[in-house]
Amino acid sequence: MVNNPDAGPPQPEPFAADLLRGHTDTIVLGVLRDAERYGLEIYKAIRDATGGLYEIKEATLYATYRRLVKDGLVEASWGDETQGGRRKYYRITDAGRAVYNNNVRSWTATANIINTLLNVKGGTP
Amino acid sequence: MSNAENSSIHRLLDQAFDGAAMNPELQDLKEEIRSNLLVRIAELGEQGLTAEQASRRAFEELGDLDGVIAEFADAGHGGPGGPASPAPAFDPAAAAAGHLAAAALNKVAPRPGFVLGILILSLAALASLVLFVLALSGGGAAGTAVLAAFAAALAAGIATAWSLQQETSQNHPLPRRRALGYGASAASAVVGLALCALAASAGAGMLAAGIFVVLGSAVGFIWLGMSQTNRKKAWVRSVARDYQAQDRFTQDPVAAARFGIYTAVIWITAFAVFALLSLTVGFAWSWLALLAGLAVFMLVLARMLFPADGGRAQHPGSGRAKGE
Repeated sequence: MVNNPDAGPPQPEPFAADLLRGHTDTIVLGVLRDAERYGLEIYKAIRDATGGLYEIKEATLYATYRRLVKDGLVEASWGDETQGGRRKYYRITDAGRAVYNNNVRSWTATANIINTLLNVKGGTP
Repeated sequence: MSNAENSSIHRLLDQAFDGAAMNPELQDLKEEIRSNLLVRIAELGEQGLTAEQASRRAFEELGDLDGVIAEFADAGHGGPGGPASPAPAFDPAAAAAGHLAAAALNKVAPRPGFVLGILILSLAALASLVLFVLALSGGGAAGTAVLAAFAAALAAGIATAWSLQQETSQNHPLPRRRALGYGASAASAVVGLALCALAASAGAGMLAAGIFVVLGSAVGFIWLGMSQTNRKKAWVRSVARDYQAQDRFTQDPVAAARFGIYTAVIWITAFAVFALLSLTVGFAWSWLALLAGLAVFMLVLARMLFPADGGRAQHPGSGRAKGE
């Protein structure tokens, strides 16, 4: 499950990419919530969840993984793959879950406030 | 085919990392990117692209690697991982001031409701324990003893689960299911111990049941402990990183090795003396050998970690003190 502020039909639609980029850490934590995954899987999960509307560049994600590991929100380990090469898997920690829950709460609260301020009803002005 | 695609992808990767001063972290990043690229290339190959096309396409999809590589390269400097980088100058006073500021900023006061609740739970657990002991020593009233034991177990379980779900200055709260798991293990430990205590009046069957429940609780704790992941907050980890490699054994591996040998000598001697005294004087006094061993071990540890003469080597005589 990914926070997608622009949930809607996959058609070119203007949206605030900067705003989305600011939540990259939380988005990755959300992807890792139910299973441990390797880098490409995380990238694809994010891309597919937005219906191809928006993708976070893989190169950017590597910096995100590193930051998350450093803060102890995610643990990395090289898996022992029998076919194909070895892959580096990421797993969410208890700290990561707590931070994810906090961020989702504050995002929901912020989204509600902005919607109220902008007089939005049901996503249309 | 696999050869061609591999050589191409390795060449592209080497070019991307060309110019960056390699450190272990960068090397790890390179291998990670390589493994992900190989997966993507295999997918593109299935879609009908040639090896060369697939390699180029997968590499283009990555995006701009320069920024990430620069970030990883910077991190190598000053970090304990970078072999080429000189050890950072560590200023304990500045670090301590920074840590104090971080601690003040991240302070989380316990919620009054939680404090009050834990106090009540502790009192309830204590009262049930007293009741349990009274019922047992009084001889009869097995029903009261069972009821008291369950009340104590419930209080212990709730207190454990509730505490672990609290956010503290240093720890994030545990997810609810894991906290409940710890609580259940704690409660069943109390139940098991109570069943064992009841064995005196209720027979050996109760003892077996008690041991069974205690073992179940131990299995629960072991499983929870082994699957436990980090719950420390980021600022605590950064403080810990600052102090990492500041202790004597990390800075001076020779001292650490010497300490390892001392430890082995101390305990081998202590156990030999223990066995000897057990056979000659008896168990009443032989345990003193182990106590002496522990005392000498702690003294040596203190001397090794905090040398009296400012980092000079430790005199090797201490290992022999306890035999006498």
